[in-house]
Amino acid sequence: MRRSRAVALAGLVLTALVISAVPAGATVTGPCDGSATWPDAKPPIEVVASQLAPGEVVIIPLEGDVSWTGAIAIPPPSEARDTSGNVKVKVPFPVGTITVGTWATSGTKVDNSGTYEYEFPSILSGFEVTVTGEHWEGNLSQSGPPTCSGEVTLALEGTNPIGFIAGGLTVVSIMGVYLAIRVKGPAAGGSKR
Amino acid sequence: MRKQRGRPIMAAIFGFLTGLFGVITLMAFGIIPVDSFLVTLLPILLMIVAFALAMWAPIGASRAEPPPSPPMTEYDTL
Repeated sequence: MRRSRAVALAGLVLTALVISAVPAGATVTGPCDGSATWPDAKPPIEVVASQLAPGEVVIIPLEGDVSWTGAIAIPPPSEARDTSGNVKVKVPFPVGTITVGTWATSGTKVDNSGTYEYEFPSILSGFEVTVTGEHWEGNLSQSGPPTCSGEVTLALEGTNPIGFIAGGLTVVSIMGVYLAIRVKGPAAGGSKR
Repeated sequence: MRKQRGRPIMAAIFGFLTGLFGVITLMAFGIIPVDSFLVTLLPILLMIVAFALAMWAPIGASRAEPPPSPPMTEYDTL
């Protein structure tokens, strides 16, 4: 009885851990917004950061052209001012984050846009990655609290074969644990040493 | 009486592998994001749990005392 309670408790703890790990989706703070459009996707995908629902994961194609825009809702300055920022990808502890892009310029622009061509290997499909962005007005050194910051969870479309292989290896490992936690010797049906 | 137990080192290794392959499975099917704390925590947690279970050895332990061995017969050699 005590043993089954311990197993049930362990199951509850693991379930709570998995539920609490569900991604938070997109968040944007500050007077900024951004969008991305995949016109060649079937059907075409259009994502506006500020309009994503909490917990929503954006599924994007493995390859293609993405048209992006970014803007800050401030009056266009008459003189050039310093701006800076970065885009990072979150990875597990202890690495934390990987910076994939930075900017530090002076100018009068309050928006920007462009087209970016990319191609990811299919081995990455299915993985959910959290991408963050920060923008500073008035400095080139990314110091102090950012003027704007945002976060979005992306997943590459498709099913990953690694998932099935890792699932099979998980089952084999569980069997290994089961055999290892059995009592050694004749009581467990094992051999005498 | 000697305490019955399993194989703690083997259990710890298989516990770690269970956690490692488990989180890869969860990530590949998009159940948890790549930056989830579970990616680091689960293999270590399962390694410790499996090690503790092997020390406790709840499976296959005999409840009854083993039957006493028959007394040695002594022969008078003289």
